[in-house]
Amino acid sequence: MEIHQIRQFRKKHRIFNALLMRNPVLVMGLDLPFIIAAATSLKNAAAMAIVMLMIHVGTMLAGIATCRKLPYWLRMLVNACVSTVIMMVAQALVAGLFKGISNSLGMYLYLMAVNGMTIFQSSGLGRKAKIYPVVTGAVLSTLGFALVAAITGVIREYMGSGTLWGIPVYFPVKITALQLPFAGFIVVGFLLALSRLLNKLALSRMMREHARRNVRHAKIYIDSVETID
Amino acid sequence: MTLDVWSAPHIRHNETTRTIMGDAVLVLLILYAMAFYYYGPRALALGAWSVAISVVTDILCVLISGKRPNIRDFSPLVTGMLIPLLMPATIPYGAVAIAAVVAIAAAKHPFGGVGHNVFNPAAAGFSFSAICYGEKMFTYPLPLQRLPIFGAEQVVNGISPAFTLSLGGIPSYALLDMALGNFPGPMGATNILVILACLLYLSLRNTVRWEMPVSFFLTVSVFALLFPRTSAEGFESVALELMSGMLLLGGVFMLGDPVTTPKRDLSKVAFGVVSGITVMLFRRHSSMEESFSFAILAMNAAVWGFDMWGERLYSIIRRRKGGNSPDKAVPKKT
Repeated sequence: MEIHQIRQFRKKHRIFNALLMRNPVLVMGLDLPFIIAAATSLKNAAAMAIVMLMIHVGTMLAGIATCRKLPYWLRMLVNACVSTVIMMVAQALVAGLFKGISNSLGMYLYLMAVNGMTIFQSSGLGRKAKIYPVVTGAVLSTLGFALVAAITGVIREYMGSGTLWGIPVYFPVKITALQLPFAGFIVVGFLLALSRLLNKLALSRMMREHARRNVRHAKIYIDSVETID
Repeated sequence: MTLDVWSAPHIRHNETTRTIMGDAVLVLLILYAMAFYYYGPRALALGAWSVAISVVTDILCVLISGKRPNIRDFSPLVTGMLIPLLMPATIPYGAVAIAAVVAIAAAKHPFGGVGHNVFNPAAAGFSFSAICYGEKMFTYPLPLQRLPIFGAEQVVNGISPAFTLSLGGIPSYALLDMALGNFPGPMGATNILVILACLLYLSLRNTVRWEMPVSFFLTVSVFALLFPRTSAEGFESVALELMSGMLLLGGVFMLGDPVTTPKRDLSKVAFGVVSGITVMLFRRHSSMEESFSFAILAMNAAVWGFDMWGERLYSIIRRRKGGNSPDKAVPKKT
């Protein structure tokens, strides 16, 4: 399998790619503290996903404007200021949507203004960056973050406190330790292993398809040669 | 003369993973017999349940990693047998199951399985359950009660010496009673004399190297002698520290685990000394009644440092002796 074929496959499956193959949390370890410390329930995960979407997309759009006009060092500062302003708006919105979320997320809600994924991606924008691919990439990255946060939140809430979205759901044993940050590392570790397995399966499927296509082409070629003869 | 061609390894040690684990299973069975004597059939039921969960989890993990399960591997059996012995006989089955699953699926297999685990699986499983079931994990029934297999709520509980010591008091149990295991505590950790006999057997069989438990217990004794936690002084303080909680059982079976300990003899001694100090510091400053397993986990994470130190020390010794060092190849000037 050659590299251009893998790239072709990735382009074809952009959503799958963003959610699994190049998930910002699982592959690059960006925004891991938020998942480990704050994704203890589905509600927390949903609130974080909304805040992240607003901050990330907004800062990336601001990043496109700043990358053309400002020097690198100033660009970082302006991006951080923009993300902080957006965070304040997002925090007010989320506090209205989910009751008590500010207490539940604590300082992590405010720390999202300087999250690793936004800083990393906004600082990497080039002068010729175009709006559509940048926004699409930002939305897909946030989707990847939201997926990991949601899965971690569901596991930790359901098994740790026997509820889902705050509603009691039957679970035979309550594993209260799952609510603690160290358990977040364990859950994310297992998710990482699962994502690697899925990646492996997807790549092997792609290679099988490629081999089958090659065989088909070879058969067509042999048939055509025989017909000419 | 016939020339036989064999692939490596050509030199094999008498001890294999199977014999080491077999020895451990044998001595753990003796501890289960004592637990049965003190607490009745529930002790055996907890052991069987834990072993079943451990073995099933181990097989599942092996299958997921794409390997074939090895019937000759006794390691999940040892982990499964050890976990309930660290807990009170009244512990719910769910707590044991969680501990067994965490031990195998989170502490053993993600690191590569048998021989590769960084942390002692039983210590990890116990610690996880201790966080989840704090109160139930440290509520011990009085010994010589026949606990029912199911529903062990109607039992008389007692105050363990570890709890009294953590509050700064002196346990009221006679030292002879404590040596015979006639006091409330983890169901496998109270049989002091039996555990010492187990240590002797395992040391003679070379399953547990004597350097580490001896240095560990000596350090704990010196620490207890110099800095007693209670008004008890001298020998009494040492005896109480050694016989309370899971110190002896953990020192033999968890600290002595050959996988999670340094390889060289001198490193083992240093590891035992530092572990002794760490365990005593944890005991003094922890809010939990029994923090031994947490201290063991912290020490397990530092094993690589002891190994590196040991290798460096041995290379210096070899160089000084002029052994297998590159210096030896250089001819000396005369």
